[in-house]
Amino acid sequence: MSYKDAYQKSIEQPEEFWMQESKNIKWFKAPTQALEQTPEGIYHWFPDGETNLSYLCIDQHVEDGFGDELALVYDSAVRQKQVKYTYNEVLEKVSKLAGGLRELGVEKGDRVIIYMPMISHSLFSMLACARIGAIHSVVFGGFAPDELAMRIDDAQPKVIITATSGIEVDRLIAYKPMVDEAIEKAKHKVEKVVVFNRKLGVEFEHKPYDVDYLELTDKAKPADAVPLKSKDPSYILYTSGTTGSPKGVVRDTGGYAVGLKYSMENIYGTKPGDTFWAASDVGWVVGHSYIVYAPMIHRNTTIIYEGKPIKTPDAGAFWRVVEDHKVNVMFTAPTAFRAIKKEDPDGEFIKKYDISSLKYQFLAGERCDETTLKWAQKHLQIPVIDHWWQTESGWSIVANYMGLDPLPVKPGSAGKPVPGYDIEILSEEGESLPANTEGYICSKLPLPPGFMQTLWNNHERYKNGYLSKFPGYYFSGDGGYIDEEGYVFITGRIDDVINVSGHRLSTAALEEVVSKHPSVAECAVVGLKDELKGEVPLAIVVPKMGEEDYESYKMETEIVQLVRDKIGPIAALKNVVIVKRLPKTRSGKTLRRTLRKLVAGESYNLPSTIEDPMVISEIIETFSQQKIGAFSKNKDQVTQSLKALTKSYYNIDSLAKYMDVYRISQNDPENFWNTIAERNFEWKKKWDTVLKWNPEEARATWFEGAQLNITENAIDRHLKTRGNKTAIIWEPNNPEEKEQRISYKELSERVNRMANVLKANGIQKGDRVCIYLPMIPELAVATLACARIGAVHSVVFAGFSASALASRVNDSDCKMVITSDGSYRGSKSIDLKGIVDEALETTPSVETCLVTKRTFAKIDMKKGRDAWLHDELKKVDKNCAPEVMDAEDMLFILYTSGSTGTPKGMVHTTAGYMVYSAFSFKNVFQYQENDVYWCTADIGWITGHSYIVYGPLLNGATTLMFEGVPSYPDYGRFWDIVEKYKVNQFYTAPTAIRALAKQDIEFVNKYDLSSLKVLGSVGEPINEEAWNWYNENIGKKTCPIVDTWWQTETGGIMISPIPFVTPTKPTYATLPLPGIQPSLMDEKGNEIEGNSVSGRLCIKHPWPSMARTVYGNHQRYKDTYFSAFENVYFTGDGALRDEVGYYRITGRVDDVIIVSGHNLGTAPIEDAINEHPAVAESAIIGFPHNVKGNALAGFVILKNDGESRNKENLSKEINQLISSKIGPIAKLDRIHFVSGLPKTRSGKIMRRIMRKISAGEADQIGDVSTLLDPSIVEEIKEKVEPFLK
Amino acid sequence: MKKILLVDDEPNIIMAVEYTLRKNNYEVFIARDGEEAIALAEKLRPNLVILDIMMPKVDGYEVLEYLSDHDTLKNTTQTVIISAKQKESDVDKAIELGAKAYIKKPFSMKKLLNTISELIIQKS
Repeated sequence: MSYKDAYQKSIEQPEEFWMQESKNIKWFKAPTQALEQTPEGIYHWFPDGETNLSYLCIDQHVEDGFGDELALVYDSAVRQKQVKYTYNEVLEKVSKLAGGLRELGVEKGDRVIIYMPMISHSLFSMLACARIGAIHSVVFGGFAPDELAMRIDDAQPKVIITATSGIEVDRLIAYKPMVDEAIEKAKHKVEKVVVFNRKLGVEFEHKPYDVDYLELTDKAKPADAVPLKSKDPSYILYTSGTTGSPKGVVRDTGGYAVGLKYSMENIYGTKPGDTFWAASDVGWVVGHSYIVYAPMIHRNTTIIYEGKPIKTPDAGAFWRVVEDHKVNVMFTAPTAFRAIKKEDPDGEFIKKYDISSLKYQFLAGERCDETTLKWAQKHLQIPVIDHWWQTESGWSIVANYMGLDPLPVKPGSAGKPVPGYDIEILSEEGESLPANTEGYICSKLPLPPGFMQTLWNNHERYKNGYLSKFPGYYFSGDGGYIDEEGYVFITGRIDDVINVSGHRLSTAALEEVVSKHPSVAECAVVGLKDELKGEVPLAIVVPKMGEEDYESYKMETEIVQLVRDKIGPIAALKNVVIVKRLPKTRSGKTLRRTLRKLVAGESYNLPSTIEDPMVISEIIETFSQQKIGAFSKNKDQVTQSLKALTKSYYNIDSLAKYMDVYRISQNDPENFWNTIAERNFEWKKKWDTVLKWNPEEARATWFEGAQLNITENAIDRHLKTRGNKTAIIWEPNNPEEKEQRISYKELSERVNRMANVLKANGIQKGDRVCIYLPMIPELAVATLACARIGAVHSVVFAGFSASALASRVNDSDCKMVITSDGSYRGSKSIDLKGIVDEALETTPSVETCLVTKRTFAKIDMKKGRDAWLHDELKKVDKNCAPEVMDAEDMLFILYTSGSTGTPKGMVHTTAGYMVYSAFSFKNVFQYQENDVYWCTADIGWITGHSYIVYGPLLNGATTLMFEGVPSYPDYGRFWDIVEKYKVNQFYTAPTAIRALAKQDIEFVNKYDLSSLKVLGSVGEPINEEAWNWYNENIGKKTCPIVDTWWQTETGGIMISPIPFVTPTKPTYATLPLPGIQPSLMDEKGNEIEGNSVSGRLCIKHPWPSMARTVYGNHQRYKDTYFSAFENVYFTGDGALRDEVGYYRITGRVDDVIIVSGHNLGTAPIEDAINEHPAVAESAIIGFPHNVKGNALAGFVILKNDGESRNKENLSKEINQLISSKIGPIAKLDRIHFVSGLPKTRSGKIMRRIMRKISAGEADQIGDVSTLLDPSIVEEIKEKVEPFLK
Repeated sequence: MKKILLVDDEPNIIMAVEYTLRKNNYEVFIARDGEEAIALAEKLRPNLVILDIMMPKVDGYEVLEYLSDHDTLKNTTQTVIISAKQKESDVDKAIELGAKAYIKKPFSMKKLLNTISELIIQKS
C-alpha cells in the first residue's frame, strides 16, 4: 500500500483501518469493536480486546522460538561495560521481578514509580509492571526531590523502584537519597522502595521501606503475563506543565501496542531481527516507546545506552555504538547532532567507525534545523528523517514512511501526517488556514491508537488544555504550516512568536535563517520590547568551535544582512548578541522563556531541569556589557537578574546543584569566585582582577584592588538584622560555672574595645600580635580585634612549651603577647603566664604583654611590660572604626610544624581567606539561621580560626566555644553540652571520637542528642570503626558525617561531603568543594587521570584561601609546596580516587606524622632528642594507635658512654626534652635503643622499614638489598617485637 | 445563571463546548438532534441556543424556524449557529431564519464565547 492510500483510508474509515492493523499483534482475546467513546469524551481503542505489553515484548517471541535471540544490549559508555540479554534471559528477569512486586502487594491498577538511570533494570522494571497490570510511571532519573515528590503525590504509587546511583559523564548522581528526600516531602506514603544496588562503593542510609532488588528477585516466584483490557492504562508519563502541578499522560495498552507495531514496520522500516537504537532516556516518551516497547514488540534488538553523544569519551561515541552492535536504524534528538557537529565539524569521528549497518537516521524531540539536517546527511550518507511527535501522542504525528513509499525529504519539514491524524492548521479564530499559512497545528478527533487517553486524575485539565480551544479538535500547542504538497512544517511552541509592528514572526523561522550563517553553531531568537514596533527580535548566537575569534561585529552585520535577505526588512533584526553557550534543559531544549524574561528585566525562576545555571550568569554579563533590553536602562539590572542565580549557588543544597556549580567553578574559576565574592560580602572597594597567578614565583593574588575589613563582614553587617542573636556561646571548663552568651551587639562592643586597647598600647596596622590564650572568649575577641585594626594575629596553641612559643614570637617579631594568668584543662590548672615569662626572656621584639584574668592565680607582672587587660579595657572607648585593608593585606600567621627544622609561619591574607572560609562553612555544615554550631577544636589551630571564629561569624551563625576537655568531669561532657545547647552541627576530631568510643556507651545514651543534624570530622581521615561508632551512636544514623580534609596551608576545607547532598562513604573525604581542583600525581610528576587510581594529592588551580607564603621565607614556601610538581600545589598527602571519583586520603607521603590530629614533623622531634648528651642519632616514625590514630616511636642510637645508662631513665629524659622543646603532644610512645638505623648506601634513612615493623607488618618490608647493613633489620625486629603483643 | 441549550450530534463538540461554557458560568443543556432540541427549548426556555445545522431527524434550519415562530421563545431566546456549512448562501439562509450569529466549523472556543457574551449583554 502506498502512503497516500493508507492515509486516505485511515481518515475515511479509521475504524476499519485500525481493526486491520490490530491483527498484526497478538491478543489474548481479539477485539470485535474498534473504537468507543465514553460520555466523558475519552476514546478507547479496541475496547473488548485483551493483551499484555510484557507478553508482546517477551513471551510471544519465546513462544515463537526466538528465545535465544538478542533482545537487549546494555552499553555503558561511562562504565565501559556491555551486557547482552536474550529474550529468554529478559523473560526470567522480568517475570521474577514481576513476581517480586506481586509479593510486595502490587496488584493490577496499582502505580509503581520507576526512578532509575539508563540501565537494563529500568526496562525490566517497566516490563515487570506491565506484566502484572501495574501502572508504571517512570520519572527521569536526576529530577530533583521536589519534582519527584510532586509526582509521588499525583500518581500515589505503592512502590518505587530505584537504583542507588547513576553516572553521568564524570559525575555520580545519587538517586537513593533523592528518593528518600522526596518520600519525606510527599504527602502520599509509599509502602516499599525496591533499590537496585549498583555497587559503586557508595553507602546509603538504609530505610525501613527499602527492599533490595536482587534479593527480591532471587527469591520471587516468576509471574505470568496477565490478560489486560486494551483500554487498561499501561503507564503514566509526566510532562512538564507550566502551572507547577505535573501533567500525567495516561497511555492505554492495546491501542498503544497497535500504534507502535505499525510505526516500526511502516515509519522506521525495520524488520524483526534488526537492531534498533533510540539514543534517548527511558524517562522520556521516546525511551518508553522506542527503547522499550516498540522495538521489543517488533522483535528488534534494542539498546540501552548509558552515555552522551560527546565526551563519553568523544564525539565518536554514537558511531562506536553503531559499529559495536550493528545498528540498523537509529533515532536521536537534533540537539545530539548539534553537539556532535560542534565538536566534530568535519565528521572525522564518523569516518573512524564502520557504520555501514545503519539504514536510516531518525531525528525528533525538537524541530531539526536545515543546517543540522544537511550536516547529518552529508556525513552519514543515508536518509536522515526528521519527524514530529509529542509525549501526548506516544508515537509519530508527522513522519516519513521508510516501510511504505519514502517521501522525498524536505528540509525543515517533519514530513506528512501519520495515518489517523487529520491535521489542519487553524487560526486564532479557529478557521482552517490555507497552504503555507502559519497557525496552530490541530488534529480532528478521534486520534489514532496509542494517543494518550487522558491526564491522570485530571480529565478536566485534559479537556481544558487540549480539547476545548477548538471544539472537535486536538490542539497540539505547536505552531506550524502545511505546504502545497501536504508537507507539515513545525515552527515551534505557540508562544515562540514575535509580533513586530503587527506582523507575527516565528522565532523558529528566524532561527532557521540565523543558523545558516556558516560560523553559527546554534542560536535562539527572542522578542525584545520596542517602543515603536511593539517587539523586535534579538538573536542570541553561539559561534562554532574554532570560530570564536571570528570578529564579532562582522558576524553581527552578516547575520543582520542574512535575515534581511531571507525574511525581509520586516523582521527588523538589528540586535545580535554573541554568547558562549545557551541556557538549556537537560533534555536539550533551549530556555527561550527564561531568555525572554531576562532581557525584559522580568523576574524569572530557574527551571529545575536547567542543565547549567551558570550559563545564565554569562548571558547576564554579556547583556549588561552590550546594554541589551532592560540592561540598557536600569543600572541595577545586573544585580537584580543575578539574584535568583546567586541565591542558588552560594548554598549548595542538592547534588545536581553541586555538580553544576562544581563544573562552573572548574571551567571558569575566576568568574565563579567573582560572583561568590561580589554577592555575599561587603566591600569598601571592588577588585580590579579576581586572580593573578604566577606559578614560577608561587605568588597568588586574589581580588587585587579590593578594600575591606573582615570584621565588618563578620560582625558589623549582622548588627541590623542579628544584633541580639547570640554570636558566641562560651561553655567553661567547669560545668558548674555559668556560660556566656555573647550577642553580635556585645561581640561588636568587646572587639571594638579590645581593638582600642591594642591601639593604646602602640599596635598599628601590620604589627604582629601573638595570642597565647586558653579557650576563653577573650581569645576570639583578641583575634577579631587584631583584624579590626589591621594587626596580624599569630595565635599560638596554649599547650605549646615556652621554647615553642618563643621561637614563634621571634620568627614573626611580635610586638605584643596576649595571655592569661592561667588556664583550666579538666581538673588541672596551668600556669600559662609562667610559660610566657620564660618564653619572653628570649624575645626582644615584645614590648607589651596583656594579661587577662582567668584562674586568679598569683602571678608575676613585669613592670613596664605586663598590663592587666581589665584595667586597659576601662581606659578606652567602645567604638573603633575598622581599618581599611587591601585584599592581600596579611590577616594572620599560623605556625605549622613542617617536616624539617623550624616551624613554618603560614601567612593568610584578608579577602581570599574571608571568601573561602565563609563559603566552605556554609556548605560543609549546611548552617541554617537558628542553628547552634559547635566545633570542639582549639582556636590555636587552623580549624578554630576558620570554623570557630571566621567562617561561622561571617555567616551570622551562633558558634560555641568550649574551654574544657571531653573527659571532664566525665566522658559524657561533649554530649552534655550538645543537649544543653541543642547543638545542630558538631565538628570534632577522630582522636576524640576514638577516645570517647572506648568509654561506656551510657555516657552517650544519657543525653538527648536529637538536635544534631550534621557531624563533622577533622584532623586526619577517620577510620571506619570510629566512623561507624560516630554514625550509629551520636548521629543515630540520621546525621551525615562530613569527613573533611584540609590543612593549615589551605585555610579552609578542601575535600568533604556536603551533608544531605553528597552520599557519604566511610574513610572517604569524597568530593572537592567547588573551586577546588584536586589531582593525583605519580612520582614523576605526571597527572594520573581516570578513576580507581592513587597518587600524590595536588591542587591544580589556586583557591582564595591558600596560604600566600611562609612568613619571612618565601623560598621555603615555594620549595615545600610548589617545587615537587610543576605549577600545582603539593599537599604532601597521598590519596586514592575510587571508581566514582571519591577521594580517600591515605596519609602523609613525606615525614610528617599526624598524632591526635596534630601534624608533627619528625625532624624537629629528632632534633630535640639529639640534643640529649647521651644520644648519637635518632629516627622517628609513626605507627597506628587505636586512640591517637598514630603514635610516635623513636629509634635511638646512643653514644658509647650512654650505653651504660639505665634505659628507662633515659627514655624519661628524652620525653621530657621533647615536652619542653615541642610540647607533650610529641612525646614518644615507644623508644627503642638500637645499634644502628636502616640506611641506604647514600645515607638515607629507610623509615619505611621501621614503620612496617612497628605496625606489625614485618613481612611486608620488601627489598632490603640496598641497605648498607641489612642485618640491622633483624635487630630492629627483635627490639620492636615485645611492643607488638 | 444564563441557560444555554447546545444542540449538536458530534460528541467531541458537545464535550468541549459544554465543558467551557460551564467553566464560564453558564447553565448548559444538551440536545443531540433537532427533535430533542425543540422539546428541550419548549421546556427550559433557554436564553440562548447553540445550534448545529447538519443533524439527524430534524435539521438545524427546522429548529431555527420553530424557535423564530414560537410566541414566547422568539422574544426570549437567541440562536447562534455553528456549522461546517461554509457557503455564503447557507449563512444568509440562517440569518434570514432568525439566527443572531453564524460561526463556521472549525471554530475557536474563544470566538464562540465572545459571540455568546455579546448577545447576552445586548439582550439585558
